[in-house]
Amino acid sequence: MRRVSDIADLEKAREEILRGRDPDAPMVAVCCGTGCVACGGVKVVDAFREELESRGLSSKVTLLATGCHGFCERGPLVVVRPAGILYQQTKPSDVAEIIETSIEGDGIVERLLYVDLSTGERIQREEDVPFYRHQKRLVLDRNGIIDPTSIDDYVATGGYASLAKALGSMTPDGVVGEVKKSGLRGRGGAGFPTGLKWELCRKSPGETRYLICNADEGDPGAYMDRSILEGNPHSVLEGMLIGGYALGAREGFIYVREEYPLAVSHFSKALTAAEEAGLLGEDILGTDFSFSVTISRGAGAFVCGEETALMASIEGREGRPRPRPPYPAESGLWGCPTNINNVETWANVPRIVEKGGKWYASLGTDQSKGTKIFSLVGKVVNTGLIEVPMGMSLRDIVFKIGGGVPGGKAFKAVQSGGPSGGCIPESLIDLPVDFEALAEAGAIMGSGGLIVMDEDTCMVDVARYFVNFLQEESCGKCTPCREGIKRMGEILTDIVEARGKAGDIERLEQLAYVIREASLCGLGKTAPNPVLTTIRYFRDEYESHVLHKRCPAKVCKAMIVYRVVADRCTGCQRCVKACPVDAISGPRSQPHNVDLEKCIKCGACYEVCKFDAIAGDAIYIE
Amino acid sequence: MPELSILLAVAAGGTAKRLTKVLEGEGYRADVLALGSELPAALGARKYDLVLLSDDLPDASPTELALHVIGHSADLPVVVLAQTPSVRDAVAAMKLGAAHYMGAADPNAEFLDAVQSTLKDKLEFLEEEARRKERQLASLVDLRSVDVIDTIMERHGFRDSRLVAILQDIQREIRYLPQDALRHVSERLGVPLPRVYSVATFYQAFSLTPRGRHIIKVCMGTACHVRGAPRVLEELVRKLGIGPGETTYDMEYTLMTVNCLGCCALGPVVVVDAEYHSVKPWKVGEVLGLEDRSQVAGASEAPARAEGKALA
Repeated sequence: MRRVSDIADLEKAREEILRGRDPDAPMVAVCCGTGCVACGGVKVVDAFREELESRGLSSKVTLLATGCHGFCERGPLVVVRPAGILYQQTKPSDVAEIIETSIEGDGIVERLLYVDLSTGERIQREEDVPFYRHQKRLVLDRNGIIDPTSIDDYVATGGYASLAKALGSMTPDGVVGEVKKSGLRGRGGAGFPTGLKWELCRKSPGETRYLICNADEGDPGAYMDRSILEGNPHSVLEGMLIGGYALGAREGFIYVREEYPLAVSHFSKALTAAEEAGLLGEDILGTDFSFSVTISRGAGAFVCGEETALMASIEGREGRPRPRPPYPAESGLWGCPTNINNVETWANVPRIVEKGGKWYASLGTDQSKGTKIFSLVGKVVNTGLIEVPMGMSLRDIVFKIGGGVPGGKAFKAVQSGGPSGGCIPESLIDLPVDFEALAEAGAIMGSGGLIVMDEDTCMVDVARYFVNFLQEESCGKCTPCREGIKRMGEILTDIVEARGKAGDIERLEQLAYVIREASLCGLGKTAPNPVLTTIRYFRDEYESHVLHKRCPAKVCKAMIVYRVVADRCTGCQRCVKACPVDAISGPRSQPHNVDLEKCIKCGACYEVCKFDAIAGDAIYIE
Repeated sequence: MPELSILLAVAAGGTAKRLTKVLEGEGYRADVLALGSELPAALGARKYDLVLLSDDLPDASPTELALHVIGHSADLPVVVLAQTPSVRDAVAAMKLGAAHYMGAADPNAEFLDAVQSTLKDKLEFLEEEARRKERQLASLVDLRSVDVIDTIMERHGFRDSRLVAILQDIQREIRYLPQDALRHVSERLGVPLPRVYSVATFYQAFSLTPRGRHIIKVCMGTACHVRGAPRVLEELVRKLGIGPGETTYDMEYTLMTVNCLGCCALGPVVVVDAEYHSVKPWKVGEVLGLEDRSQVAGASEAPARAEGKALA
């Protein structure tokens, strides 16, 4: 894209880009989000490039390597436009057939279509697939149609028009007012009203102000920030630019997790491209607004997602939180007023400026406006990233979009909000998902990870998992968090290893109360949530572990033994091959045997058995 | 210890015989030179550790000869033997750099003492020199790293606020953070070493010990956990024979756990270097090409790696 000299010139530049493009030209969009790349997405792109070239179609067909489409379960995904046909789980060997049938011809490769499991129907168009049909995409909308490393693609689809609008026709106060009106709340976890946060920072006295984009997406099970940065980095940058204008900041930082190298690469390309186009740097779009952005990479510390720890890390120190107040809006980075928002929050800002706060506020529920991206993962058929209006019921999310639990297993719970969140049981499945409803249930919205759990998931084990996680990630500065979480971990470990004692559950509750009340930062204050919600909703499972030394989900190794159910075993030898320690023996077509001396209880046999012939017996130790 | 050689420039006769006998009795090699004019040829023919110059040679004074010896090799110690010792000669000899000035008639024990202490000084000097060279060599090796580190710090403008980023870049280049690197960073940035150390030990991404050529990261995120990540880890521990955070003895693999890699839809996930794999616990070895490692343990060649995901 050429350099844009002023606000009106941006529109001209957009027209120039569009003039060079044929809107009806066939286009192949291959998902190259991290999920699809892991399944071979890049190889599919390469195959398309070669095949199009050999057929002399390179100039006629647009080939796009896009960011994450969201439907990660079915990757690598290929969408052929303008017809909008979705091919799933594609391989390089399918490419020739796709080009022949759907680009050169107007047919469909039936075998690569998505099959709706409930109806058995093959679905042709992407938008008709249930996974997509029930979504409303404001932030993820461009992910499947633009090349994330091309600023032309972003501008061609209306990108940076919101920045131009803000700079050209709105005052900074006007922008803040619009964000307040939209009711947008922070998407990073706590859900603080964004407009109010902006106003507080704007009103804080001081010459220098900073903006921070928090991309330290540490909650395990959540990856929407990664997908936004990888798939549409300019939307985040545009949000930050608008924020910089509104708050009077000249300098912004983006703090990205160490584990997200592709996100860093795409975002830094976006910075370079925007600077060359005159959309970043000095005198942006010919106005006197100047703004620069620096990328800070995290170094593997969960606590750095906490704002005061994050700022310490940007300043080059170890990321330990400090008490608030003062809040960052008053005294943040290097003591200057600082505004921190999460990636998804920033990506919502251009939409709000474009369509108005009132329009945005018309989406969602009373207290929670707009849409929210969730990562729907765990024991669910259609795993992936989804964007839905706030207030959609958990049932619709898990069953309509997610397609329910795989393998005919029973749904047990959804874990929401990562290690600070909680588990929501089946009895609350009709809960509308918004900030208030989740908090009431004892969980939190968090960054939007929804981990579905089925009957094979042990809730005590899940609680221990989170407590272990938090114990490792606690920075150790304050005692309640450092020592309290450790003690909780010890009690939980005892329980899952069949050493639970009467009174353990009550001790956990007591500790939880102290940790919540006395910890310094959000990490500690919310650390007891996973334990408290699992005790609240699954107390019987805890009691079963403590009193009867039984793990109903057959997860806790100390309480199970594996054996072969002789009348179901067909002697197929699958388990014999799967066993890593050769503990299973038996001739073909005869029931097998598990040698309990050798068995390490890894469960491989249980998982590979097609005849339900391996039983993980819950045993009584006492 | 190699045989030490001593050159005696002393007029033929009783003194020469006596001294040769004393020296050879101590295990030294002693060559006698009866004429000063033969000195250049003798020094050229053999590498001596000590030269004894007497003042009774018919054709040259010890002063002339000492000058010649020092010109030949500054490291070669000289001891002057005087038939008729005088303070003036002693001062002149010492001024020329002689290690000792002694009377030729001195008792054998004293003579031997002078020879041995001179040789000892020389040996110590040589050893010290060798150590210095070694240090220099080592610092030459470091110099390359120092260059790398300096370039990195320069890229970050030598700003202490970029400390985390600087350490990240150093680790990317050198694969870990050597102690010297931390010291160097501390000095150049003017950041106290304890603070550099504190940052280097706070973040999980940093390692103060060398890591393997290949880094295996097992995702322990929640989605991966409920789908069997702990068993994937157990399998890797069994296959590689090392625990999380450890490196195989041949420096081939480092096994690490991470809290969520952000590809939760594919769990359980293992990343080898930059390649993502979605794996079933019992297929870990196969997918990562580790199956036969127990047999080839110690082989330096990296096993061929299976591509992409291998969901059963």
